[in-house]
Amino acid sequence: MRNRLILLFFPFMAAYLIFLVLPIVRILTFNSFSFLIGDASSGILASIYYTYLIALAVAVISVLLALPYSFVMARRNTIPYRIADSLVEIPIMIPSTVVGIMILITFAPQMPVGSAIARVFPGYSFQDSLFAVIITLLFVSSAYSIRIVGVSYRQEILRYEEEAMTLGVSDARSFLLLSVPMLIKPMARGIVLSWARAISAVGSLLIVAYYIFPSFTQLAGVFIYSQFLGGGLPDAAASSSILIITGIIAMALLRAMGGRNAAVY
Amino acid sequence: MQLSIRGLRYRRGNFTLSIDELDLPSGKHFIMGQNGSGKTTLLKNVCGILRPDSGRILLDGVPSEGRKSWERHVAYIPQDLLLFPGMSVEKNLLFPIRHAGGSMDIFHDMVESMGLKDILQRRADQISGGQAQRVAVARAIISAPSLLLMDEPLSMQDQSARIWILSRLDDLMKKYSFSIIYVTHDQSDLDFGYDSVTFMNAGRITESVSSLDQLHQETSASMLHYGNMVRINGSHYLAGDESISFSDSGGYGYRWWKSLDYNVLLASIDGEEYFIKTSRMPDGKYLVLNPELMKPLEHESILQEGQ
Repeated sequence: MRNRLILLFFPFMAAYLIFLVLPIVRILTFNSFSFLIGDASSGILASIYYTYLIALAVAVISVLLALPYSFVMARRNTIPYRIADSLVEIPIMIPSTVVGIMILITFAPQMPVGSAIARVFPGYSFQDSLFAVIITLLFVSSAYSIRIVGVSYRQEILRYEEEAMTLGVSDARSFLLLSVPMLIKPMARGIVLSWARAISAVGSLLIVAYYIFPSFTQLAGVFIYSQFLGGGLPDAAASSSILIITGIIAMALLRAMGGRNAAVY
Repeated sequence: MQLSIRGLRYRRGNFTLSIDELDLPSGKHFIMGQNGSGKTTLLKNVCGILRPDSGRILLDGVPSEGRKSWERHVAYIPQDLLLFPGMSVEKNLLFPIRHAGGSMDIFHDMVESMGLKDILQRRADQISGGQAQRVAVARAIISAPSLLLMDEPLSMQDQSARIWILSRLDDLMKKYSFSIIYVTHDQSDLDFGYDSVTFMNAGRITESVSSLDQLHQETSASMLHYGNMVRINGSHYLAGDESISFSDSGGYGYRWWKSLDYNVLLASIDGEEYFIKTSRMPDGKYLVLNPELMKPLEHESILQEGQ
């Protein structure tokens, strides 16, 4: 019976994988290798470098926020907390450009929150700043870390902490000595997903930070979009290929690091 | 440690744990009940993992409301043991010593008495189920509790290991002055002595007795393998030696065998088969039960309606 089901389901699985792989193969083979080498000097490598670095910083911030968030939410199950918890997923369903607009009308210096920040930090500007990029990417990508860390903590790890507490170990020690090490693997998974989501953000950045001043750096998604508008498909496809190749390598490295760090004892 | 519970209510979803009154003095106490009867929920409320919606849990007469679980001196061994994964057995055992008030003397004693010496350096998630249960029991006792809550922690032990650990528990209880509340499905665990057995059903305590002879609930008796519970003409009774006799002329058909120091009868009564434990030696073709000398058992549902 099981073998028959495998035979039945296999074509669907294979079709889905082909559906995923085909566009990747297509873009990697769209241009010649020499064209890719030539495109590398277009500025895409620097853009990718900054993109990965900023996305990594945002992913790390997301995971660091996920720790206290998960700690509180795992211990509170009342309706207000559950409603608050459901807010986490809202950024995922909001179109990226809308996120950009939301962030802009919240944090721009002439807006209420922005003007409050400006009072504390004179000379504060938001649009096209690194701060704007980080805030925007944090908004769109933090939900992944929060959810992965939160679910792992609540469903798999908390009970070990509770068990340690019945052995006389305080809540703080139980959390730090047991839960945090056990959370490293979910945190690494959270970093990978938040990082990947932050890299893929384009629409919100087009509104909030087309360039990042004062370096005039463009993040990769925006860079490729502007290439597409200015130079056409071949240039944009070549930069996309480089982004995908480096992305696969970076993802593999992050996953490998996550796997090693999971064995903490 | 003496445990007292007054008006405890804990509700989650469709399940409600509701315990009006329970007093368990220092000693070894068993809790029996069907799956879902609330045994684990009760233990988790006592050790502080869960917080009751209302009511009081008193430990040695002191209300536990304001005390965190690590301040209660109530160690809990769950069914899934929860040995800390990735750590060695030794680190698991040392954890309550390094980070709480556990005792190094008890550590040495437990390593010796639970036969853990050879597996100390092995990872806790790479030992057998039976070994893991012994480690969990040892770790809990090393934490020097006043009350040890055991949620069927010996289910994976073979009979001889189970007997060995249970007999050791009695010694350890006396040596290190802690009480035990032990949840079990296995009546043979009671063979090592107990101060009380509490029966639970549907989130409530149906009865708490200091001797199985005091049982008067059908639901309680039905949890015992050789509960001596029989149903005659729609009524449940508890058959004792005094109500049992044998005859060659009439009665109920039966088979029997000897088990340890008693005889087990498998009797066919009104189309059902019942196990009856007796010290009487079968000496007739048929089993005769005298209803007047048997203890009638009440139905909990009737009792609830009456209440």
